[in-house]
Amino acid sequence: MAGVPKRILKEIERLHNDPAPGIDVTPVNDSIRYFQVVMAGPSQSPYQGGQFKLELFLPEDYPMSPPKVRFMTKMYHPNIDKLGRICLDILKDKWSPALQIRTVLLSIQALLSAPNPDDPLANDVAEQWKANEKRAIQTASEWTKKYAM
Amino acid sequence: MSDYGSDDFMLDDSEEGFEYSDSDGDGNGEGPLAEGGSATGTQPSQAQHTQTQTQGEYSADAAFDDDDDDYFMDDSGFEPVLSRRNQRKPWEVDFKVYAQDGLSAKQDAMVSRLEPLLALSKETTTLLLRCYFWKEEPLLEGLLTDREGTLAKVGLPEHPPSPRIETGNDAFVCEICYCGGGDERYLTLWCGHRFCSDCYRTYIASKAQEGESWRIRCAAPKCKTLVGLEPARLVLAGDAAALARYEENLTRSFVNDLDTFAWCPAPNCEYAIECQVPRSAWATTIPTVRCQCGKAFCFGCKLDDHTPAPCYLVDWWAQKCHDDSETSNWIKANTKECIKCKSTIEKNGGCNHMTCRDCRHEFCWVCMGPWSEHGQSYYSCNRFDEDSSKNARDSVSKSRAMLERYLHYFTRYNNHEQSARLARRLLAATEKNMEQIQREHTLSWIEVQFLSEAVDVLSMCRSTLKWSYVLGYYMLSDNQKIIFEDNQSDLEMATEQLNELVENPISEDGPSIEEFKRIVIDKTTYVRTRWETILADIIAGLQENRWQFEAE
Amino acid sequence: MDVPRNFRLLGELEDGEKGIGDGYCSYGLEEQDEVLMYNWTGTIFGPPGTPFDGRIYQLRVYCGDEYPRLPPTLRFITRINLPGVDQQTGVVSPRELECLDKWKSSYSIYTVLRSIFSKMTKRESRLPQPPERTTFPSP
Repeated sequence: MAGVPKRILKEIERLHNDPAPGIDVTPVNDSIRYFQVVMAGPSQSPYQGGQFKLELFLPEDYPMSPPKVRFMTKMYHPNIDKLGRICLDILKDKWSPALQIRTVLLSIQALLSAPNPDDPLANDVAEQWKANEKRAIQTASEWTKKYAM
Repeated sequence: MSDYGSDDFMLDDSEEGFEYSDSDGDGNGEGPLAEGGSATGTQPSQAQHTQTQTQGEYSADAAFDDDDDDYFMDDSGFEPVLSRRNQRKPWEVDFKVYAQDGLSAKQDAMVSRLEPLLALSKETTTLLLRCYFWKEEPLLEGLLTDREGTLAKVGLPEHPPSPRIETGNDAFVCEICYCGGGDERYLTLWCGHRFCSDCYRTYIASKAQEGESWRIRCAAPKCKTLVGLEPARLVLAGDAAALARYEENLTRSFVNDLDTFAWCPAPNCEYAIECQVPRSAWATTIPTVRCQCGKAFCFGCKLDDHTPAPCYLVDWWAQKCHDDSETSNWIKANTKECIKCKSTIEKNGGCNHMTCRDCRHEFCWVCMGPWSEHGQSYYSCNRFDEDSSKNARDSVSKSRAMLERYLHYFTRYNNHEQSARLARRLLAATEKNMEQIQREHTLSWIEVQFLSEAVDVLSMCRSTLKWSYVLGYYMLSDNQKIIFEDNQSDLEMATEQLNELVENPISEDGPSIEEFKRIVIDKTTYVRTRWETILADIIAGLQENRWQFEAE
Repeated sequence: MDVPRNFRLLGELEDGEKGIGDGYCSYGLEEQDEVLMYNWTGTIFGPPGTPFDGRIYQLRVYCGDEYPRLPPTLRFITRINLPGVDQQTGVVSPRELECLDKWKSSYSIYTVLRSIFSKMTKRESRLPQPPERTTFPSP
């Protein structure tokens, strides 16, 4: 796979020249595999106005294996656990090598807009989300103010 | 549906639910492999023969007629072979052993036969069959009622074009590695997605490394199209290790996906067993199979052979013994004392007839009673005397009585297990004995086989007796149980006598070798007959619901 | 290729949650929500047939910013008399535990716990032990 570094370099180039709106990707120590990401909370969501920090790592067999991503900012979200780990199908069995860093990050941003409490990673949050969605959304937006602004 | 229902694969369709075929009763589990000569060798005639099956020259009905017990059931293309020995016994079931080559041939045969019937390409037929876990009937039903929907399941057309690796397209860019241009070699799947062949190879190889094969989907995001076997083999052609892995996964998935196939559980054994006894029959039939490697196991629960106890009783018993492991540990930890002189005695032979080394007192290891009462008069060591324990129940608590009941059965179960282990050790000693007899009496090897045959019979009886105590433990007390226990007692006594015969080496002042041989052969024959009678009776009893079993 | 510290520790956490080895050594995060994963607790069951048999030992494991380039630091909470363990503080001396002394970045928290476990089985560790359920003073 002589093409792999080329693919990664190309992805970085594209991310630089044509950044996804509200998503900022910066290599850590000039690494081509480890990135610091800052993601703006989507509007019309309890995460609106927040700036969320993530870290992203491309393992050795990327793009055959998905990137590893997690939130560094505390999140109140049924599909994100206390350590920021994310439950998202394309990061697991639905990964396709034709997906990219950009598509992954956009999918995560979309997950913030559309939480899925039926497939939870953080059980207590999911319970709260199902029992009293209004209250849960309020908590999420309080956490956004507290940790992401 | 009947067109397919009577074919060689759909054995479960018969009224009985499953068919027996021959089995020779010698415990060698002679299957087509043995008939084929070599265990691992290819059967070159197989594919050809399968072809003739699909052309209708093979009469499935004739091969599986109930009256045709003398024939091997055979659906993998082996010639039906006339059994050289007796019919299978009532407690034996039909099974077949497959090596890797045989499994590939079996898969090919199933696909080849169905392909013309479905009027679909080989590739599509293969993938459909796999999607339906190789169950032909639901697949055919699905195709009849909703051909398009059924095909959509695999995301393949009726006749997908043969995959080709193309080149010379200047506009091509691989979305995985971002390489492109006219020199790039690429593969287009039927769904229209195309990636360079290097990326496809890496993609499929890494999926194969994770154990996947035919379930691998197109590399495009969210595309449900299955890559298919032919394109996968095409792109893996340059990577022999990955291709081998992929093919291995295909076979693995075949055996795992079919209820009627199982891997031999012996460590490092690569044979698979086919057994058509359906799950619904496991309560009254013990589907014991014997792999080419020698491992005998239950096709139902995959545990070691537990004839004549059905799987569910074995399960209850295992749970019980686990819960009461403290108690059984206690039993194991306690060696026995001679009731007469109190010296410690450790059982070192399989025979229950004990003679104290110090005071020469002879007694039974199981009940500790004097042996004299066992030999001639009624052998009453096998049953938990419900009457006499009644008195005990009055004086001690009920739980204590239940514990004693369990201990009664467990002791006997455990004793036969230990004796069986010792019998295996005896086999080694017996072989030495046989060599010695051969030398001293100038007999041929065949002429001394009677000893190893005796040990074989002994081992079978030990195993049967051991599991018969599990049956007894859960069996409700009634007249039928008394008959059962009488039979059990007969076999137990005969087994002990044979054990004693084989265990004691020939002495100078004993009978002549000819006489000894005659005694052993007679006893072996007698024990084997008892064993067969009892096993046949137990299996018949299970199938007639003659006994009632109750969980605690 | 070096996996960054956080993803490396997330991997170790997952292994620990699944349970590795024969169950004599286990570990996890001290606080379930410590995003930077500095503070861990380790548990070692005393090896059978040694003076530590039947006892459960708790340790603090600290993974600094430079982990796994640099080894973690360890401190026993449960009192133990073991060569290489400071009898005042419970700190495991990095020079007296081979896997810490000759640390490689491929080693893990489990590697360290396991090598303490095997040290407990050594002849020179057959020492008189403090009473059960006593602890080193917290720093």
